[in-house]
Order: sequence, then C-alpha cells, then structure tokens
Amino acid sequence: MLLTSFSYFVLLFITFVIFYAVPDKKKWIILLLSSLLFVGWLSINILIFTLIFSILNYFFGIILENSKSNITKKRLYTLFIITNVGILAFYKYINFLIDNLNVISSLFTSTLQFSHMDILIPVGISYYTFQSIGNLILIYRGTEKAERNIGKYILMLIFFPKFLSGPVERSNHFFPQIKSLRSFDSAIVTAGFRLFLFGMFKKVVIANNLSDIVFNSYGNLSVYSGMPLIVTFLIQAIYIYTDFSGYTDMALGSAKVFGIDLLPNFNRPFLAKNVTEFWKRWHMSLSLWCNDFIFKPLMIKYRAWGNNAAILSVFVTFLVIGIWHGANWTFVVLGVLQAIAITYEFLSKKQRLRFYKKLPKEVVLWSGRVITYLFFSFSLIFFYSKNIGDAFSFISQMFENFSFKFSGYSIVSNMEYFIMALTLFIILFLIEIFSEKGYDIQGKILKLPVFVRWTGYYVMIACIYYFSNNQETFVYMQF
Amino acid sequence: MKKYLSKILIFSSPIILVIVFIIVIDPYDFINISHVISDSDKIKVLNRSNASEPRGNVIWKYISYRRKPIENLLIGDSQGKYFDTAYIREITGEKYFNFNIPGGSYKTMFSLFWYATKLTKLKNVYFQCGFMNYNAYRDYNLINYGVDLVNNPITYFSNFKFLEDSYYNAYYALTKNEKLVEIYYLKMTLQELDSLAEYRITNMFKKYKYPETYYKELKKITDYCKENDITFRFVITPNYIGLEKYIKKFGLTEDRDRFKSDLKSLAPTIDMEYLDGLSNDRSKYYDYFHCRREYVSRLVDMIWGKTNINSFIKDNSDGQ
Repeated sequence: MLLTSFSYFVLLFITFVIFYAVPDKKKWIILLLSSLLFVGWLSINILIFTLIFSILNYFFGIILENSKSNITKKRLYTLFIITNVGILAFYKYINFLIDNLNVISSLFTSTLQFSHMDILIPVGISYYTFQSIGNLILIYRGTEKAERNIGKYILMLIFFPKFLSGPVERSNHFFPQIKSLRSFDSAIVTAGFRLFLFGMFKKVVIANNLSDIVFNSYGNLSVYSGMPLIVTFLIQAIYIYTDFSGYTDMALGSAKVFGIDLLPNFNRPFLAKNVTEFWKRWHMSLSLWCNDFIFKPLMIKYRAWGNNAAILSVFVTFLVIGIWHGANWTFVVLGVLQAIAITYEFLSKKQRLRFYKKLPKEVVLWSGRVITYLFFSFSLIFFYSKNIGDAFSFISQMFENFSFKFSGYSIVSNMEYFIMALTLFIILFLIEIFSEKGYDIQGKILKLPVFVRWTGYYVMIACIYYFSNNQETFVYMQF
Repeated sequence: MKKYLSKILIFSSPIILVIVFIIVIDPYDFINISHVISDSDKIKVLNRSNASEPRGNVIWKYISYRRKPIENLLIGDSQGKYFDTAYIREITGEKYFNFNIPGGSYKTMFSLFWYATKLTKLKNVYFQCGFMNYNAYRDYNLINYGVDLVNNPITYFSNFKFLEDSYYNAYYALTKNEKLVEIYYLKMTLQELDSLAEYRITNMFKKYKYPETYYKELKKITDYCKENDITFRFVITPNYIGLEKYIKKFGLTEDRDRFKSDLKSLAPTIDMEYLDGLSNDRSKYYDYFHCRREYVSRLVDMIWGKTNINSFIKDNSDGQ
C-alpha cells in the first residue's frame, strides 16, 4: 500500500474519523491499530518481523535504563547497538559482503566461493532501525527515559505515515506528541490534508512524469549517449527531489491530520549555496540524525586532532549516509563524494570568502547554487547506476555522439507530459525562491476566497486522477 | 467535527458524482447493477481505438469469463478476434468463449488459459497462434489489466481510464455518433494499410529472439490438456503472402519453420498460414496478417470441419 494509493487514503480517512471520535487518552491506540493494519497489509511476515524487532528494542531501552553501574551500562549499550546494526547489516548487506568476500577469495583460490543468501529485505528497515538506535543512544546519554508503554513504543517505530519512507523520526520528538494528542482542530487537520494533497501532486503529476527519462537512461545505457544522457543528468536531481519530497509531504500531511508533526526532510535544497548547506536542507531527518549521533560524538572524541577530527568525522558520517542507501559500492562513492566536497569547502573556506568579496553578491549566490546542483547531479549518477562500471559508462557516454539535437529517442514516452512536469517544477522552484526571500506565498494563497482555493484543490485532484494510472514507483522506499 | 465532516462531504461531492457516474455507466459490467448501456455498445466503445482495444478487451473478457465460465475456449491474439462464437455454436452445437485479445502476447494467452482452468473444467481449447508474436522480446502480459482490477476493485473509480471509458460510453449512447466507434483500419486506404503493415512487421521482427521458454509453457499446457482429457488444437490463421518477403528480409525463415514444427510436435495443428485463394489476394486482408472479417466465417467452417481446409482454392471469388 503506497501512500499514493486510494486504499491508503481510505485508511487515512477512516483512521481520522475514528481518531477524533474517541477520547484523547485512547487516540494513540487508534493510530497503533491503523499502523498494524498498514504494515500487515504490506505483508504479514513484515508485521511479525517488525513487532519482534520493536519488542526487542523496547526491552533493550528498559534494561539499559535500569542498569546501575556505568560499565554494565556501557557494555549493554554496545551490545544493543551491535544487535541493531547486526540485524540491519544481515538483511541489507549480507549478500554485498558475500560478493566482496568472493572477489577477495578469487584472488587466492578458485574453489572457495560463497553463495548468496535467499533473504528479502524487510521494507522500511533502514528507517526504523535508525529510529530505535537513536532512542537507545538518548537513553544511554540519559537525555531521554525509556518508554514504558509497549504500545506507544511500537507506534513510535511503525507509525503508518512514516513507515515506508521516513522521515527518520526521533523518539524525543515523537513521544511527547503522542502523549498529548489533542482534540479536533479544524485548522490543523485542514493543513494536514492540504499538505498531503500538495505532496501527492508533486509525486504523481511532476515526479512520475519525469521518471521515464531517468529509468530509461539507466536501464538502457547501451542504447543512449550524448544529449539524452545530458538531459538525464540535468533532470535526475529534480526527479528525485519531487519524488522524495512529494512522498515526505504526504507522510507529514498524514501525520498532521492527527496533530503530529513529523521531522521535516527538505528545506528548499536547490537554493543551497554549497554542499555543506545542501546537506542541511536535503533529507534533513537523516542528516540531522547522523550529525547528532555520528558526527558530533566523533568530533568530541577526536577534538585533539584539530582539523583532522573534522575531516575524519565528515568522512565517517557520509560513509554511513552513503551505505544507508544500500549495499553497493555506488553508494559508498556517493557518500565519499559528499565528504570530499564538504572537506574541500571546510578547508578552503577562508580563501573562498576572500575571493567572493571581489564578486557581486548575486553572482556568488547563484554560481554557488548552480555548482552545488551540478555537483549533486553528478553524485546522483552513482545513486542511480547499478554498479560503478555503469556510472563511469554514463559519464563517458554523456560526451559521445554529442549533438544539440534532442529528438527524444523514445527516452520520454510522452514529451508533452514531460514538458508540463518540468514547467510545474519551475513554478515550484520560483515559489521556493520567493519563500526563501521571506514572501509568505502560502499565507497569501490561504487568504484567497474559498471559491478560488477550492478550484485550485479540484484542479490538483483532477491532475492527480488523470496521471495516477502511471505505474507507481518510489525510489526511497527501497531503503 | 460534525461540521467539518459535512464540509468534507460538500468538498467531495464532485468526486462522489464521478463515482456514481462510473457505477451507472459501468463500462465493463464490473459492478453489474446498472445496465443503462447495452453490452453491444460497450463492446463497440472498448474497441474504439488502437490504444483502447487491448486493454478494453482483456478487462471485458476477463470479467465476463469470471462471471460465466464456459468449457470451450478460443484463445489467441487479434488474428482470431472475429471468430464468431454464435456461428461456431451453430456448427458445433456447443457454446464457445472467445478469449482472443488484440495485441495479446503469448504470455497473455498462457495466463488466460490457466485462468480459465481455475474457473472451470475445460473441454475444447483452440489455441490460435501466430509467428508474429512468437518472439522472446514480446514478453508483456496484458492479463494484468484484468487481474489488477479484480484484485483491487477500487481502481475502477481511482483510475482515470475507467472514467474516460464511462465518458465515451455515455457520449456514444447519447449521440450515437458512429465516428467515435468507427474501427480505425476500416477507414484506411490500401496504401495506408500497406504502410501500417510494414510498420507493424518491422516493429515485430527487427528485434527477434526465438522464445525457448514459450515452448516449455506450451508443453505444460498441452500436457495438462492430455492429463485432463481436454481436446486441444493449435490454429495458425492465414497471412497474406507478402509477409513472406519480410520473414526472409529479417532472416526468420528457419525460426518460423521451427515454430510450426514445435507446435505440431505438441498437439494437432490446423495450419492455414498460407491458404491458396486467400493468402495471395491482398484485398482480403487489412494488413498482412489480419484477414478481413467477411472471410473469417470461412475459416471457422474449415476449423470446425464444415468445409474442407482447401475450400478457398475451389472458390476464391467472393469469400462468402
């Protein structure tokens, strides 16, 4: 059940009606039941796995909190973290490990080869494992108390709007909210539905109509070269942004209907002036998690190393971010590229600022934005490619048979829809630019007469309805 | 909260109207409550265009067979779509269901066969085969249109295509505008039909790989029929002789011969690929592999034994 499916909307709406019909203290039970139904609908096996995982971590938290001596606490903490990472690694990385072991062993002997394990990766595992680890870290640090209500703990991990694709929620952000679920507030509920609709529009009308070019290019690298790949290069970041942010808006909107604010994931990322800033605006819940639980502890631990501590912390953090996306060397490269860029920006900051002073402000601002966008697009080649070889083929083929002609080469199944989606993205981007400058565009829209607003909503619904026959794919669900 | 719910109801009224409209028109008899539009009109509308034909036929036949399974089947692609079951009944005295799907791949046909076996005990199966689709690259499966709808009935309202179908049904019912349901290839000149034929053949043959797995799947089907006492026949429908030029041009003669011998090794095969009196007359075809409707009853006569398979040799003047 994808968030864009009609069945999801039915579940959301029924949950909404029952949620506000029951007393405040029982509201979380409705959310838990809907979440169990949602996960069970995906697969009973996933539900069982997730429940066992949640119960295990629930007890880990309590045991950790109850341990008296610091040494025991530290040992238990290490054990619990290793268990969580181990579960994630087993499901997500075991076959990757086997592949690499086979490569290494083939250097010495041809007889020792390990075969792949036939396992299915439980959907959403990267998201809820990071959430449970985050909770354990906070308990260990003493900044959060272990949750005693097992139902609420399970809800924290499997809350249905965020189960498939995050955001990577933080327990200290989520628990206080479900402990004070409020009565019906029409303004909040409407804002939730509006955000949901807007997210769906972004995903179905914009992202889905841009997806062709990306999947066709990477799926048929032997066929394409030159202009189609250059266009793909330029479009792929827009596609992943509208796809993922659209889905995130739907998750955030769904949660808001129940008065719950999930962590935001995007803050106008294409307006970032450099890569360091980009990662403060892109997949924020993940980057913030890594910042708090990996980067900062490393910086503190190795602070005596000076700049080297920062470089080490950046590389480790972005390696984790890279590998979090999947078991493939391409994701390692993705992470390393970000780390190299951020390290460069960190080390060259003074010189760059000196140079920028000589240039007009707007030139500095926009050249920074363009370079950051192009850099991100470049690193996405490794994100979409099946392997490193394909990524390099993509890069080299971009400059083969180069021509300014772009006939489509059947790379886009419907050119009109593609252009429409691109135009809509440009409008969205302009709104982001104005919002960045402080114009309250949303506020202005909300002040429009009901008739105008409702017409706008109907147009969006009609577009979603029209374009929703396309095969649904959601890139970030695989993580 | 009550106020808010009524506001939602008002806001949703256009959506509710759309749902009611689809229920009333019911383009595929899926809901099967309202019958304001006749089935024959609905069939005309679903065949209205090249694009609507495959999807429309799969959904219509998938649902209709599910509701009323029949033990005698014709399975195949567009080459057999004009096999008239009423006429077959006249000859054989038995009811047949035509599961021929325009654009249907072999995978579609396999799935339709197994789908039918799940719903009823089959008695006679005529499996219409063409070499055109016997290609490993043509590996899509149209049955998913039907399966998806039955597995997720909500899509009847949430998929825009069904609203579009309902609209065309209503429009046709109100205006009786025949242009809407006019079959596109009937309007084409012979020259245009030739171009269409060349386009289609090139598309089908330019990328070719002999489908080894199809043989295995066909064997599974014929074995199943033997085990279950089902009379099974392959039927190769006639092509225009001009097709042969393309088969040679794309170097597929051996593959075509292998295709035919593979079929013959599995089950009795009614091979009408090139019929004297029919295959050498371009005017008796739409493109090179779709014999005109008016000659199909003659093929039915031959397949079900009313006339000799060589009847076209004797009488090639009128085709009736």
